[in-house]
Amino acid sequence: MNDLLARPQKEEIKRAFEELTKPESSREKLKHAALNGRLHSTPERGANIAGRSIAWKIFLVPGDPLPTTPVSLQAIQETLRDLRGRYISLLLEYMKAPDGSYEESFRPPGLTVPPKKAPKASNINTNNPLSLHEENPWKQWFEAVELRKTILQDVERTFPEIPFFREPAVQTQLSSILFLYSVMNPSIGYRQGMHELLAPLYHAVEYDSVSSPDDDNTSAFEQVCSRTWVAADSWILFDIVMKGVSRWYEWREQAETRTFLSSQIELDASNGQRQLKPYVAPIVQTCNQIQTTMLRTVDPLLWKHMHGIGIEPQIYGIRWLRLLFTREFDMTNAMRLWDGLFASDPSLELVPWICVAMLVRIRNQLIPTDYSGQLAALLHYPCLDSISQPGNVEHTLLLVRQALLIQSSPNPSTGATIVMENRVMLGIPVEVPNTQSPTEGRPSHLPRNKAASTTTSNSVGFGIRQPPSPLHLPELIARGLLERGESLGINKTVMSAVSELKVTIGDMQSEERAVEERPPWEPRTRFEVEREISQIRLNNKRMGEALRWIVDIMLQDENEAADKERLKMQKREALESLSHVRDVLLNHEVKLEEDRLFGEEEMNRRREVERAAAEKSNQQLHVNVAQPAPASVIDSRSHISTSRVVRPRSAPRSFGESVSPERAGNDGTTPPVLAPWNYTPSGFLKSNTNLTGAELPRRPPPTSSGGRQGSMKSEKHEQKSSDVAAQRKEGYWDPLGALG
Amino acid sequence: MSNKQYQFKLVLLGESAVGKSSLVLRFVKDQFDDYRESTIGAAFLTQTVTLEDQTTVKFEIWDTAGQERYKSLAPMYYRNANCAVVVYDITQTASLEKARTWIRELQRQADPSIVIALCGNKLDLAARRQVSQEEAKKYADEEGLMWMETSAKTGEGVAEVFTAIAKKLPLTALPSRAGAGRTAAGARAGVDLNKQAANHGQNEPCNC
Repeated sequence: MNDLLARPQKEEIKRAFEELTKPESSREKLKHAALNGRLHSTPERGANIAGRSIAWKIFLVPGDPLPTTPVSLQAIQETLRDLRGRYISLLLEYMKAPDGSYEESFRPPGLTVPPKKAPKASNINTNNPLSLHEENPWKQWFEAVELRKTILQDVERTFPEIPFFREPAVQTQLSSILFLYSVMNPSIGYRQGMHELLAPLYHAVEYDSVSSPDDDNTSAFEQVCSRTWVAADSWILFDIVMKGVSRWYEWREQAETRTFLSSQIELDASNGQRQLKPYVAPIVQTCNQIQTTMLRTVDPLLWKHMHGIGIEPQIYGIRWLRLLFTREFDMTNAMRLWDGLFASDPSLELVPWICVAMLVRIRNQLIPTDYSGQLAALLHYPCLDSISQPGNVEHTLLLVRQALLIQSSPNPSTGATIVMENRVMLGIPVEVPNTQSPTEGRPSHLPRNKAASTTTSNSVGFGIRQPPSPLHLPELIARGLLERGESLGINKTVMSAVSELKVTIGDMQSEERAVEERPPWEPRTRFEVEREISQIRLNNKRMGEALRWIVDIMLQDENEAADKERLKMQKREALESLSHVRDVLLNHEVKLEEDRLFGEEEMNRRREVERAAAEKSNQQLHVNVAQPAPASVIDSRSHISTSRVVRPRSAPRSFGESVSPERAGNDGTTPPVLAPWNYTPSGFLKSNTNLTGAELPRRPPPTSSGGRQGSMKSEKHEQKSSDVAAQRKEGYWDPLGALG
Repeated sequence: MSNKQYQFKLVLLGESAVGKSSLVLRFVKDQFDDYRESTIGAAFLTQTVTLEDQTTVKFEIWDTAGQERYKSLAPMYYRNANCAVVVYDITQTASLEKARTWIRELQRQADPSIVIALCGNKLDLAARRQVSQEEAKKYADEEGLMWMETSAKTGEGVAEVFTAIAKKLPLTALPSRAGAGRTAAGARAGVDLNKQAANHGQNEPCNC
């Protein structure tokens, strides 16, 4: 299939060429077409499609200054002609041995006979292969031969499964191009991975090439696609692509680092400081930026989890960035991604954003797992091809579109939009599965969740069934939907949609973004104020507990302690915790961090206690929950309102202790369960009657496994239809994340 | 049930194209490809070895890229490694030189208790041998390394390398580092990698 001989008919390439270069097409229009997978009208054969390299030439080769003007064939032709000439002259220059000879197999394009030896008059003392003279040009030559050997070693094993790359002629050309690039860019040189960037370019150009008579009568089509210039054109494209990618190959040598550092030290020494700033390679910088800065702004929740696990981003980033994703997707999809990427951003600034979109896409695999689980998902990027959609969603193009979106507005609501889009387009559930505790079974939710759970088997047709809600949700938030969620009688659909958003955008609520996006003249609602108060109370309680622990530690006498080292460490930890409490109290910007309140040992102990308590309370719930708490719901749809009650649940772990149902029912001040806004009626339901509960069946986020477990078990006590029961099961004791 | 279980981080180092990835592929999947795509960055795989006394040793294998330019990245991979396999090509003298550099670096930078095995690969090409057994053995003895020759192509010696390391490791590594199961200290020891090993095509996600 990928054989040298399997090129398409010349007519087919010509059609593709004419389609791409027709007078009414501009780069802007082509870009739009590329992003929507409509760039090529010719049939796709595996990873090959006639006209792909022509489109790449239009996108990458500098031509028209304006993207909106018609594609100027003439400009492209001229640039190609100049650069092809340059390729030849560079080859002739760099492939020539110091005695003016060439290797026997050397055939520059356009020449059918080997170039003649052009002896130079030179000093035989320095210019001979055996001379040990410093300026002996042969020394350089032997280095070049060595470099070509290194390159060939990688070229020989480029895409081992594609026969095309086993052809010695192809390998020779690839090696020459890479060699030329590395001697032209000595600061970067040749690095492993470049060969896999070049290979697809070369393959695409070769695939679109046509043999043409080498005279002036050739058409524009024959000139642009001339088979004579396959290697030269590949070099041209590679050189342009490398302008964007080379920084991720750059690696300063140790020696240079040292000189760089010594100058640094001197500079700093004048200030009386000796600060070493170790060289950080651009690839590491970009990787860090992707995972810390970019991802954090778009998907704070995912960032938090990845940050907590602590996988160095360059572990996966190196391959993603250096190879432009060719090893993360199969060739067909990788090439589609390239189509979209080259069309929308020849400078490849977009690439890190694509990485972010890729991370967001696999957030369900990344969030609930541990170190090795994350590692597995990142280094073996999950294969989406198995769930190809009925509408034939080109999922890698979707990544490019999402990356463009994030790039233009990097914020959590873009992140939310993308998560929703992934659900609609790819059937990726919005809700993060809780695979950490697979034994906590909730078997009965399967029927309800059939559409939503979206395993690969039922995803077909899923995209069509979904309402086009995603794009509206951020707007809903911005318009203050969150406050209306205070109602108990709120429509289930919107309720679950809001909880999804909570999952999606993680810390958004705590950052009050919804409030920021609201017009300033709108006063704060009761809900917000109360939420804040309960948050403050909760924080106070946590800090109180921390202080108790700190005082306990501090009171211990070091002289009497059995394990002095341990106590010393605990005291240090206590001091750190104390300063954190101080920071939180003094500075509103500082967020209370549970982890920093207690020492490591104490933290572990508390977790154990909470876990035990949660388990215990679940058992209690199982027995006690038969009596639902009173529900004051004003709702026209009585069948729902009767079922829509707030049932007491165990508190989430972060509250430190669980709340027994009885206590919760009587004590209105207990924030997690019976916050007043849970009882506030609202007229929201009426305006949204068109959204039925069945359309968006979704469980709220797994904020607390203990809490949900309790509610699940209470299910048995309900005597509703399965439909209602399914809705009930979702519950929403903290649907707005007000307490999280 | 009372069998001991260990989990170790193993890193493969050595010059480009000496056969690191092939060794791992042979060890993990018992396969061999004549042409193996070059490793970019590193690959991550796992494999479990069961010893005669029913002790199981699970290796978390970091297969690194050989090109020297990536050397500055290597510390990330050999940090906290319990063992390292430094590979050279018996048909390339230069690759043994590179192996020596790696070993020096490991001795200087890595965990002092790291178990290092020097491994001469491509034994099937013994006819083109450039590195003699005596030379390599002598060097290994001087440095206190394990040493053996392997062929990823025929499979000769491959399992033996990893088994030998597995046997040696629990003796030298402290129980806290090689702790059994999930109680191990440190977030990264004692994690369950079965899922990953079972679900993924190891080195090639979906480069169909």
